[in-house]
Amino acid sequence: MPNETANNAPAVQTYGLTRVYGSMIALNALDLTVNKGDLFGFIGSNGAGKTTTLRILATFLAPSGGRAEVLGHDVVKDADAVRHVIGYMPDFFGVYKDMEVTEYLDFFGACYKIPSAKREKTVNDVLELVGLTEKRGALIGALSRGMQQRLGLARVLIHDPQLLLLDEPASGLDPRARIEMMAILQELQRLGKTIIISSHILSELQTLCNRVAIIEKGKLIYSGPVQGVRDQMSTGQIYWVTVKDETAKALELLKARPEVSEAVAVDGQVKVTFKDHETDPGFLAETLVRAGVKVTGLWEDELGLEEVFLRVTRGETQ
Amino acid sequence: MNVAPVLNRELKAEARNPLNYWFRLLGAGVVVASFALMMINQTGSAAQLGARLFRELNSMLFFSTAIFVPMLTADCLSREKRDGTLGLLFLTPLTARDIVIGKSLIHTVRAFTLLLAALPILLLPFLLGGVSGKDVAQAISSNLSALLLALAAGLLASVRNVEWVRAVVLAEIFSGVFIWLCGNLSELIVRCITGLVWLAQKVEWIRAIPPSLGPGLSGPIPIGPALGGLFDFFILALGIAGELLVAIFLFVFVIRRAVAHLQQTWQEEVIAAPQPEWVKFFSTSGFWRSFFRWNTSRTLDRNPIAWLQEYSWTARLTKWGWFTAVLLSELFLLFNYSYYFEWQVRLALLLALGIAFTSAWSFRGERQSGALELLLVTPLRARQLIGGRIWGLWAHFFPAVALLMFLWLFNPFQLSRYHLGMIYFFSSSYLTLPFIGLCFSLTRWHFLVAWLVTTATGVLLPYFAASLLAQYTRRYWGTGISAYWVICALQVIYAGYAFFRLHRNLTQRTFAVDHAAS
Ligand SMILES: Nc1ncnc2c1ncn2[C@@H]1O[C@H](COP(=O)(O)OP(=O)(O)O)[C@@H](O)[C@H]1O
Ligand SMILES: [Mg+2]
Repeated sequence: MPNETANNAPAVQTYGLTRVYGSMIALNALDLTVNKGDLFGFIGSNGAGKTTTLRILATFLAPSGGRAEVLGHDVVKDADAVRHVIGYMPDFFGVYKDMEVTEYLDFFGACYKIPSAKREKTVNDVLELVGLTEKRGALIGALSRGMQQRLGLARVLIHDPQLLLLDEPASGLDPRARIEMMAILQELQRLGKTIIISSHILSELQTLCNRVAIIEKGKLIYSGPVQGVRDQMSTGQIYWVTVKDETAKALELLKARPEVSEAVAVDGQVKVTFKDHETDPGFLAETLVRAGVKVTGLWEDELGLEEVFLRVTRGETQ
Repeated sequence: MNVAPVLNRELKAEARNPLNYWFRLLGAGVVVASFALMMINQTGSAAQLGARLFRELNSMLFFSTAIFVPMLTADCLSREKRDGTLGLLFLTPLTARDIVIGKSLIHTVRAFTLLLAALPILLLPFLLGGVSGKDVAQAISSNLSALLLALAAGLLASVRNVEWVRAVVLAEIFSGVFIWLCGNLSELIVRCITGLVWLAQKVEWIRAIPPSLGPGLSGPIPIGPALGGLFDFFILALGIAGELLVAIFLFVFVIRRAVAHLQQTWQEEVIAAPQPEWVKFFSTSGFWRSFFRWNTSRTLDRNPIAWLQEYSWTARLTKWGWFTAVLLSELFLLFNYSYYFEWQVRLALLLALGIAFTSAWSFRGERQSGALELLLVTPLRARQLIGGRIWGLWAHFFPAVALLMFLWLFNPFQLSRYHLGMIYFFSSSYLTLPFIGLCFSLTRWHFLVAWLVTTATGVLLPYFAASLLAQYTRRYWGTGISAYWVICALQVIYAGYAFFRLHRNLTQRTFAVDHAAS
């Protein structure tokens, strides 16, 4: 039964998804899984291939190789079924500036073949959800950026899709509009929708998403929980050590240890980088104390997510 | 004044603009085509032919200046506003005057290159003879003043608008008004001066004054009775000087207005173009709202894409604007029946131009705003998208076309075979043009190119082909009607091909892939 497989299938599953433009490889054998109910962050720098991926999932572009399934439907062979269950918001507004807000939603409702009797209520509901009820009669061109973005979200919701594909929905918004947008997304997740949201800023999604994927130059380099990013991405753990007076000696001692890849003095503190991140840091204090150096402090470095992200993508960004 | 930076930048952009090439090609093409047509039904001696040819070429040049120069100039500043680059220009030490004058200079250069392309053929009448120095002097002055006024019209429209379509339409209106004004003002001046001369000398010269010395209206000048050649020369010089002076005066005046307007408004950010007053008149009145509502709300349910053609007030009003224009022209022609058939064909051609314009614009807006991407991921199929749009276009022009065809078919005058053929031809053109225009609306060409190609291949070429075919097959087929049937069949095949191309473009998303980038 196709319906049953669809019910158990993950929200998105891609197998070796590839897309080329001319001779340029925009997506390179991407294997991605997004589970139902996820608020999934899709992260990469400009030109990494986020938009291309989302366009393929939205059935707008066909892949050059590999395959993608949305809720169990193939995006090429079963494009019609996919279109009914997804809502796609591109990284531009795609509005008719001289249309009224309700007209715009009404129009897209008609495109999704929602009967006119039901349409009015649906339009009111989605306007309510994104908080645009007072602007219902306004011309779209006169709305602010944040409002246009929320209108785009309302349009995406008009046919009650299960999966939302949002391409950089927060870009260009001011902090307040951004927070409002995030609140709406969390509300939608509570309503049981699966949401994929792309961004080129990792920290923006850190608190919002339960899972993230990072792509670079069309290749997947990480996929999993947000916290896992740091573990997997940092080349080795970093610890800071402070000692009484004998910084130079401590430096020498620590450099000699086989577990340590690098030890440098920064502002009178010693920064120690391990070769891999499974090392037990206990030996640090032990080595120093044995040699008679007084240890006054020892702590793990809290690498910011952004820094991790920058490291991962360093040198490969276009 | 510091126009060099603006000039420099514009020249660099111009060199990369493929439109220039297209327009030179078009200019030369039109001249050659009309020349060929004239040669086909030629009569009289070489000198007569030369004079006629000169007249025709001259008026063609005049009209293309009046139409194309404003169209090309209209977007020069509105585009900077849309792209947000106008403000950047103002942050440099450039002033509003530098910018406007730089822009107008560059467009003068551009217009001259257009003229240069036509020049070799303009020289042809001289070889045939029959062209006097007087004709040449008048031609130069009327074309020059038309050029100045057309430039001014385009600039003024550009300063006052943001959107391309509005700027172009306004530029055309300005251009018409300015040229009309210039023609009449200069005529008035000439009449006043000669009138004064007449009063002074009490000679009955007043009758000798040409009825109009306005640009493009230059007819033969009757020779003054008393002073002969000298009087003739006096009138000619006066006419030319008056015309040029008025044109220059109008040009300077308009440019100053444009500079002042730009100075005042460049800081205003454009969010959405406000509704013009005359649109507000309709959109705020309950009666007109309900009048337009009855046929649009049902359409939205049945065919949302067709509805898209007419959701805006400007579109709704344009629809009935065409209808009113056809109605008024037909009424006028009924009372001036000696022109009836000749002008009927011109009116039909004008309507075809309008249909080509709207269809070639059609998907363009959607592609630019990205709405097309949204539509293509709805459950609507490419076939439905195209069908809906075609239906919308047909419905948009239906009132005007139906009225025109009805009155043509049932006019009180004798309907010749030729006109029956024309009716067939235009019916098939009106039906097929939307397909062709839509196909070209998804290309990466400049809109003007798309429009011209639509018009040329959808109407003009078939029109000439039909006329020729009818003329040469009359001997074998008796009536010329069969020739029109052949052309109609070809048009339908062409439209089918356009549909096929468009469908493929939409399903394979060729329009979305940037080949230049790869
Ligand atoms: N329509 C297109 N035509 C040609 N190349 C494209 C097109 N869209 C994207 N690309 C190229 O594919 C790569 C990935 O682009 P994209 O998916 O838009 O990245 P992102 O959204 O992550 O910034 C880029 O190098 C871009 O230049
Ligand atoms: Mg992108």
